[in-house]
Amino acid sequence: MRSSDAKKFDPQNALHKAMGYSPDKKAPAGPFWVEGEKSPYQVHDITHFPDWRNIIVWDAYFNNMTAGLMIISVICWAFGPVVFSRLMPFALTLALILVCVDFVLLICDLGDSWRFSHSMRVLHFTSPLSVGVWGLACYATCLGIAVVLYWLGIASNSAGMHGLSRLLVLVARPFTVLSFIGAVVVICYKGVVFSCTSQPGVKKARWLSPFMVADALLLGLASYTILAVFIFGMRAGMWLILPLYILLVARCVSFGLIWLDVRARARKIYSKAGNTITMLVVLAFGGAVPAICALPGAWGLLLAALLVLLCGIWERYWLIGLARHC
Amino acid sequence: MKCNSHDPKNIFDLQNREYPEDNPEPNGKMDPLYALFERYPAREAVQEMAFFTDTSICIGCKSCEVACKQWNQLPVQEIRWSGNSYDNTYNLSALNWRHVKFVERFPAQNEIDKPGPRTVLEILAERPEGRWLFLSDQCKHCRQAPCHEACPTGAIMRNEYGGIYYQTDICMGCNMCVAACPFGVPEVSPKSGHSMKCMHCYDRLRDGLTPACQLACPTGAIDFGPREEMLAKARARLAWLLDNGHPEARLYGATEFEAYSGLNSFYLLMDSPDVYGLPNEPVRPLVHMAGDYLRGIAVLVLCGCAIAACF
Repeated sequence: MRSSDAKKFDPQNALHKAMGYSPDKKAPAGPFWVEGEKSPYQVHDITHFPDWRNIIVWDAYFNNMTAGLMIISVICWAFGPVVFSRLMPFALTLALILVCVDFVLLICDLGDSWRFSHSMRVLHFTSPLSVGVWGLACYATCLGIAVVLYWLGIASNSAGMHGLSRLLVLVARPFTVLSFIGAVVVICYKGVVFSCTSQPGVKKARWLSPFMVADALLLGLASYTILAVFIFGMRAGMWLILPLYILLVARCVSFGLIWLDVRARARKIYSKAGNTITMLVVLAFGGAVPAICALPGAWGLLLAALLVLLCGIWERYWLIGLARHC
Repeated sequence: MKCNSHDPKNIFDLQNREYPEDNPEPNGKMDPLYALFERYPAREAVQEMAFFTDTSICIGCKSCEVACKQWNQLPVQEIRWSGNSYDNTYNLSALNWRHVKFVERFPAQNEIDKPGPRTVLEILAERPEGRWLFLSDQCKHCRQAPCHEACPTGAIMRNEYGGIYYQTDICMGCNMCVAACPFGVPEVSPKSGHSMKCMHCYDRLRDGLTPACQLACPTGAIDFGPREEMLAKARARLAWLLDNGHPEARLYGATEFEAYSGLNSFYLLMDSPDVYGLPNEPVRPLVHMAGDYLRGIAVLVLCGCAIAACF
């Protein structure tokens, strides 16, 4: 390795170092050729590491955030107070921006980005990525149309064309529902993409998909809360405190379940201190602290949302790092 | 191309050979828009072919590796010593479609430290203490291949001989096949960005030839032919070894595993599979898919209902 490469900052390596990942430390010493000892092939992972690096982590992050935001927006719009109906165009626009970022990351992560269109030529239900790409494409298309219609409706309303505005908003609704269905596919496939593999660690994570769903909803709620507070003030945010508690509990419980699935691998990959830090980050900084912060309301709620968003990044680095080789 | 002078028995008579037409176009025309979505039907299965690798007679000469590289025009990789084996190519990769594994097993005490045998008769009578295990490894061409199931582009297909074939002109390098394979076979080439692995020498098979590795093997450790025929050979060889003082001999991949299909490249091993770097009980990732989706949907419905109930 050249010295310039060695000095290059890699967030994944930096984070994994903080988690105690050290491939050199795990390399067994001693003569393997002694009868009764393990063979050289028994001490290494059999599978190839599929180059899941920073870009995949951020892809999973934005993918979950956009799908979670869409689902939370629709639930709040359908069941929540009227203020959330006015928030809808803003939330959908943010979801559209996030899904565009996700698409860029997804395409950039490919070995040959120009061939992304090849995944749109077939639909394989046995391939979680194929299902996800189609879900993502349908979701983004419907969402894009809905956003355009909503903003055209707002613009025509401002111009005094109230009839046209009502019509545009009415037409936007079926697209919103369609993009909601797409978001359901997107939120469910991401965990399955990782768990339905042969990669050590994640292949045994049967609770990865539920965890990703709960976490995606939490990320969506956090971004929705920030949006609501910035646009409509604290009163809008206060409606979201109870859902925040529910999703914090859901994430902590599903993280506990996933820990039971992958603890053997986690102990092999990360140091004891690294795993303890991850527990602290998820359960304390991403669970208990936001719950306490949200209690007094006002800026506490914003701080809670920010902590939840930051914790999501750490979790994904930790989870995807489980497949790294030792 | 039609030519009456072709001798069908002469497999080297390639110039005059009549080939079946590739991808016949309907009405001789192809609408460009239609061509974007057109997928030609799969070729009719000819015969399921399989590799049988007998590790008990493999001598680790690596001629199969060389033949594979030569026929498939794969560049040489940097050769490094691992420090714990004579294996210097490490694993199967985008550039190593065949890989000979070396497992050297010797007593703890160094042979040099022991007093040497005095006579030739003593040498001959001495029980060999060391064991050299070799395995010429390659893609297993699984009968239900996880890479085939996980591919989102349709770049991976099963050919008419039962082999798993990668169409590198369609592959987009998403790594899903790499993640899905429990044997660590495919790899995305850092140079081309496409996934690569053993192609079963499909081009050779179509010309009536056997795979290059099989042809190059000097001991006959690699055999290739109709699956049933190979299975019969493998079972006969196993029976012979078991009858002649090798209770450790076993077949790997000839029959189905508990959670995985049988393989179209099966092995006769002289130790447990994990010693050779093979999973003892591979698992097909797809068996968990429905459950994983359902658990995710259940959590989504539960959380959604709970949030809706808050308002």
